[in-house]
Amino acid sequence: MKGKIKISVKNRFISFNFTLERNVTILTGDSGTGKTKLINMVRDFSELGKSSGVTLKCDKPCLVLEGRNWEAELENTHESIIFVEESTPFLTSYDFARRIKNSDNYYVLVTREPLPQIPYSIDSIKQIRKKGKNPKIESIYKNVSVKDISDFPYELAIIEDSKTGFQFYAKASEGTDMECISSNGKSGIVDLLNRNKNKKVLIIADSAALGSEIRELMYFKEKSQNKTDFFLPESFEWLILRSDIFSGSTDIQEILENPVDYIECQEYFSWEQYFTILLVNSAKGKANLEYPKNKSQLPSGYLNESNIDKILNAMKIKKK
Amino acid sequence: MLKIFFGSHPDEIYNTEMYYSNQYDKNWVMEPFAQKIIADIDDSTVIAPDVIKNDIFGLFDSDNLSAGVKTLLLIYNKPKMIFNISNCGDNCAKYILEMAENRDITVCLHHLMDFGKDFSFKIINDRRRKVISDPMEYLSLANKYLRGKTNEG
Repeated sequence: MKGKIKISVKNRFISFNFTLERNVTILTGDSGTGKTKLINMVRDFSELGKSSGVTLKCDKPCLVLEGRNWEAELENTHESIIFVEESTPFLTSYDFARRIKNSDNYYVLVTREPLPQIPYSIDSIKQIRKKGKNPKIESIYKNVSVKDISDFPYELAIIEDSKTGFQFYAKASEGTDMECISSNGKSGIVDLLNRNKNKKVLIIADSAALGSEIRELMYFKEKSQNKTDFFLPESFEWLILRSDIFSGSTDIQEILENPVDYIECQEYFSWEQYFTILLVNSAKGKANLEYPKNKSQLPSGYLNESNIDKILNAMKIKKK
Repeated sequence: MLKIFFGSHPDEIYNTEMYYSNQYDKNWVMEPFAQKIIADIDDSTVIAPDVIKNDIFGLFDSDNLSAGVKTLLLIYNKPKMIFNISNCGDNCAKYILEMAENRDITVCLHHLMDFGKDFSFKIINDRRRKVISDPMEYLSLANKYLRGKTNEG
């Protein structure tokens, strides 16, 4: 399944209207905003249809996954929107994460738990904002990323990636006062922050899979005395594709404008995986730019001065 | 004193909504503390035992309160039990601290709840007993205990 999915759920008292733009959406936030109400209305409609008194409009079937037989129900559910309520015991299990990978459904997971076993984007984390009978469902982490890091005005950069991304930023910051270290994955970032409490830090990570960490990182930024900034492109490969190195490819630019229309969730659990394959295929046959699928070694073509500038400036490019 | 156990605890009530539905007392909402949290968190007014009013939903019973309020009411009325406060949003945090001012409360936490700037509580994993009030120490301990490979919850 791919593409945006619009959902409208309403009864006599309240109306929820929202659009899913990725395969995994996390619904979280304050108590008393209506998360359980929304789940109950979806459950009522999926069990009794219009006779429930709930009106639900969506191009795909919507249902609430719960109970002891969830694995069998999930096995037999396709091309659907699956809601899971908080405190559902299997929601935090690795078994659930394994089973939703490579499935052709979209998921709306109501929880405050970080779910590190599921790669989800910071853009997928939503909250309900109370607004009378028409509450709004909105992204929590909008505009948390800086757009320009080209002058590297930091003492330390913590790079989530340990391979091509780290190689790029280490090379790009050569000659500056900024030290580059890798956290060897997203879960190591908080540890490194705690060990470098008094420094001006830039965190560079893929927003496509940083969802489980962003709350802790934002907490650190808010509560610590030192300056912490985030540079969070969708992924390093997305940043390269968005740069002027590939600006001549109309196919790539069309995909980047609306990735959701191209990314089949059954094939790509996270958008980061899709952009890696897109870059591997797009760079095939290009001298010094052929990108390795295993991301082990960044080709030299991305490390010359001109292309470093193009990649660093890619977040600033305004698309249509 | 508030005592927080990060992750799953053998005596924890994880699904507080279900527990509340099967155990609540209709008179719980009549307490001043209950009326205060119902007004603040659920924008609702207590009319009578098990009768609550809201501008949007009209009259409803206390089984239709938010998960956060239900969890707070459970902690308030059954302080010796261990409830999962990850069913509570950050807007419940100050009330958890308030309830723990004059009595010992032990809770389970499965995420990084924001308790604001001024707090003090104990993290009791690994038999720790030190009182903490530093947000950075709290973050560090949350990261340590919630990211462990053996803890899925």
